[in-house]
Amino acid sequence: MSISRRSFLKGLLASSGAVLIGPGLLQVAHAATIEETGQWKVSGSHWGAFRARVYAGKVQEIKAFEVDKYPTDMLNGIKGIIYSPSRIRYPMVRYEWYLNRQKSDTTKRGDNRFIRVTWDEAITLFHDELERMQTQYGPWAIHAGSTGWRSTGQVHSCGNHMARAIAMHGYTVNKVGDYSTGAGQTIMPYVLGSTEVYAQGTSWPLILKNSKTIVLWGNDLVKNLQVGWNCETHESFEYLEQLKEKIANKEIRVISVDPVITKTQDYLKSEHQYINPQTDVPFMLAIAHTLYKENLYDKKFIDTYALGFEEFVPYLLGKTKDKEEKTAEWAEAICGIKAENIRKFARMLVKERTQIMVGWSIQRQQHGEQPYWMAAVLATMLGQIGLPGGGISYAHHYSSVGVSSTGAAGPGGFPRNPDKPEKRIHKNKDFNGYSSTIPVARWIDCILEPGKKIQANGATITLPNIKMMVFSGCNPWHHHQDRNNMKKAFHKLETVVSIDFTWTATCRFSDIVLPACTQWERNDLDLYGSYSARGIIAMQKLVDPLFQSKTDFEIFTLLARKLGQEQDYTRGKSEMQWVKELYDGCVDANKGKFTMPDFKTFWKEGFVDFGKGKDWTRQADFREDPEINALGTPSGFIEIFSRKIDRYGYKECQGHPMWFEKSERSHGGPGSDKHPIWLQSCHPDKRLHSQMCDSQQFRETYTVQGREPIYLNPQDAKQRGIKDGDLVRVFNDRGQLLAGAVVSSNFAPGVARIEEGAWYAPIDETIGSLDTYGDPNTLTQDIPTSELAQATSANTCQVQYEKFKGKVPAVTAFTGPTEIS
Amino acid sequence: MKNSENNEQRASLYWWFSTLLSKELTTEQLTHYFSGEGVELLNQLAQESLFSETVTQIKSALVIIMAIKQPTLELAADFSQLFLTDAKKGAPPYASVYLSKSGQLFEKPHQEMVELFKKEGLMVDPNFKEPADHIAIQLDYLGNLIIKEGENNSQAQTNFINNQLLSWLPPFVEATKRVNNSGFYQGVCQLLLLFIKQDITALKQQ
Repeated sequence: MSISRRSFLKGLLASSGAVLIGPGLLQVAHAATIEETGQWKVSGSHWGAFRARVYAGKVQEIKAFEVDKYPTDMLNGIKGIIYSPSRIRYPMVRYEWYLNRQKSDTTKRGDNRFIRVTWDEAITLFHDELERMQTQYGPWAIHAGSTGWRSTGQVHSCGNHMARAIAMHGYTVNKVGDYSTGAGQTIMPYVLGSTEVYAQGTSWPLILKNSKTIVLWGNDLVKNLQVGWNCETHESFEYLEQLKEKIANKEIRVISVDPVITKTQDYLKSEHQYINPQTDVPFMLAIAHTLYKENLYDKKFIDTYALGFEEFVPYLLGKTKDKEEKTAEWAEAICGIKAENIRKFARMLVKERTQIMVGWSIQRQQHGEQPYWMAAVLATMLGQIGLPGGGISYAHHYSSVGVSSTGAAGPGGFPRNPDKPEKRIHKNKDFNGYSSTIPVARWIDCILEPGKKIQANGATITLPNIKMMVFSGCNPWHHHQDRNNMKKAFHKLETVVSIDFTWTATCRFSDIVLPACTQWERNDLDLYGSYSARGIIAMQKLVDPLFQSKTDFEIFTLLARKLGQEQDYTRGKSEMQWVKELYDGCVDANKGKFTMPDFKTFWKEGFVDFGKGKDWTRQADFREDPEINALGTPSGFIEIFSRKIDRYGYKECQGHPMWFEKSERSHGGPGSDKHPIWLQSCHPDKRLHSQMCDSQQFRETYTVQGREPIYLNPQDAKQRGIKDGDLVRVFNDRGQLLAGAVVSSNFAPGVARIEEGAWYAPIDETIGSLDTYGDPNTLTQDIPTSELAQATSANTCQVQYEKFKGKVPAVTAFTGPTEIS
Repeated sequence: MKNSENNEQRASLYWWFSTLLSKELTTEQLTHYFSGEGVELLNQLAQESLFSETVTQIKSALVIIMAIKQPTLELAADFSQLFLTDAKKGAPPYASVYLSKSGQLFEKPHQEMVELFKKEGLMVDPNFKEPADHIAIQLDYLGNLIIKEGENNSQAQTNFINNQLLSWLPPFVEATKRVNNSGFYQGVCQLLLLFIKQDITALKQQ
């Protein structure tokens, strides 16, 4: 067909046609490429690697990568991400902000009319705001350091792009820590000398061979091992399958210490030790007390490898300030486990080889440092640290930790910092007396209480007066606590910029929204197996960036161009040249260890396999020689008592692990009279945090009446007249949400679960408005774990719920911003 | 009127609708709807009794818009609210959203348009970067189809209108009506639907 338009503007439109009718939208196609059934490409993700059939410019079909023997069914959600109606299709600016800039009515964030702007204008607006902040205020006014789980791919890692480009302009506020392991990663270096949460653990084959008892402490491996920081391999599942067999054959006992029956317990058919929520420390203290009193602990191990036991024992015996002996009877009243069973549990731990595997949930609560520290003390008393199948780990549920590492080097990443010599436009480093780095979870406090001084990990932090937030591939309106408090804070921000591919709540509460493409619309590469380093996976672009979206690389190249530093930013290299550069760097790093094909071959094949690594025991070297292979603690030994922490003089994190009552706690704890139900907001089973919640068809496989499920105890539900499938209003003094009831005996009385990552969908922008989908962080409290980590305390949360009555509001999320009329 | 002239007029009107629904009006374009050929066009359309009420709606919307300080931006915000942001409360201009069970983009209607373009040796302007089932692309194609067929058999047009447009235009137009703003684009979409319905009736009578 030939194409006409202008030449036929006659009749009705004869004279005006040229203005009223724009240019045509169709063109004569170039020699069409012949596509019969499409082309198979390979790519990766946090959910694993896959092959995708692309036909007619569309991803038609996805199947798991053949190396992955245990693929997650979340692969079924990928197409729904790419083609979601929630996609940000164009650069958009909040209309009111566009008209009035920093004088805009910020209470209207979340009730938005947006207008589309060109990329050119969007980048100009973005740049001009950065410029205004630096000149009008200073580096303390911009926070561009909050980052999240990004999309996978080493070239396009969005946090790196944001950091590099914005640093070329000027200094900004940065963060330390993360929302997953804030307390754990801060306390453990004092105790065992590394973060432990991001460390390789003893290899599964050694655990399977040597462990007689495995204690899963608040740890749901089967749920959480579905996703990985880099492209996930799911190799752990092979070992979980073997473990299941060994449990059936009574070769290994696995006991899950948890208020709920986890997916792992269901899968393994293992044992359960119920415990009241947030009371792990009393249970642990009573175990320690039993071991001490019954003389069951390993004195020799403590003498050789640990410091500070003698300073800890008086606390155990009630000879310190609290005058409370940590007996099993004392603990029973708090943790709900019979004193005799506590003692039995203690005796069981020392009987044979015991591997303790701690999850991250128990440190995502107030005083979250304590259970982590106390668990290490217990493991020290057992004396099995450094033995295969013994000791303690804090990460076997994460990114295939425990699958032995090949030792191969992975590809590097796109540089996070500007190259030297820097050409930073604003060289001003004067933070006006504010701190330049803040604990990650305290940024809302900064906005609400600028100038306030807080203690954090041995330092005094003065909260900066943040006026502008920049987010890239980061959704704090999912991961931060207490939505209504966030609304208040956002009223005080002058400008918010978000870069993402989908209209998250963060984007909906922003002023400038830039459309990134998904990771499947760009070329990249990734490490296959974060800790196992199983191989290198190619991420071949499946389709071109949809609509007007761009890769992170392109977006920040545009900003760098605005700064006159495009060449410096890209180093004169294109996307594909970066992919090749990172690959070639990886080849060099592996020289002499692993033979890798040339880039062309790799890209065609899509995968380099490094095979399997050698089995390894965590802390075995330390056990062998604690002098030569000292731990990274101040003393080089396990620190049961930390002089350093003691000297900080903190109230809620002192020289040794202790029990502190929580601000809210169920089962007779504070606040439970008014809000009796403990709400846990653990990592989701069918998402990666908030990623994939926008994938509609996949979401519909688990929602209840279109809402996020709330898992309820049958008695609790019955008491409230709630049946499976009902809509439930969940509330406390901080907020309210709608969720769909899933009644299950896996959940103890007084316990409920809403998985984090459920998208925030308030009825309107006002403070207190009902969340129509079920984001648990509408209800959680934004308080720090302690003066040490200043981390999130999401799991310290009491709620009440009732059957929802009245007109059911539609879910407002999973689409672009809404104007409330 | 000669058939060829009639066809050119039909094509032009489809292209006009296509232009209105492809992107926001520029200030220059908008001026023509206040005093200029846009007004003439609307007046002529209003003479057709079937269209008069809707044209009146469009004109009143323009009066509302004109009274606002920045009419171009205001109309752009209307456009965005309807077509670019809220896919649930707005009216995404893609057939897939209305016709596919998934409610996703790039579904079967997009595929059908891609196949059709392939057959015809056409492609969407790479700068437009929209799925092929975008209303503006479909209307653009229809205009071209009319010109190509000239006075010949109109079966292809009838089929295209029935299968690719009338299959989803009614719910699309309904969706626009749920959005509360100046009403300009709601009027335009309603007018498009009326025009198409009249056009298909005329085609059948040929």
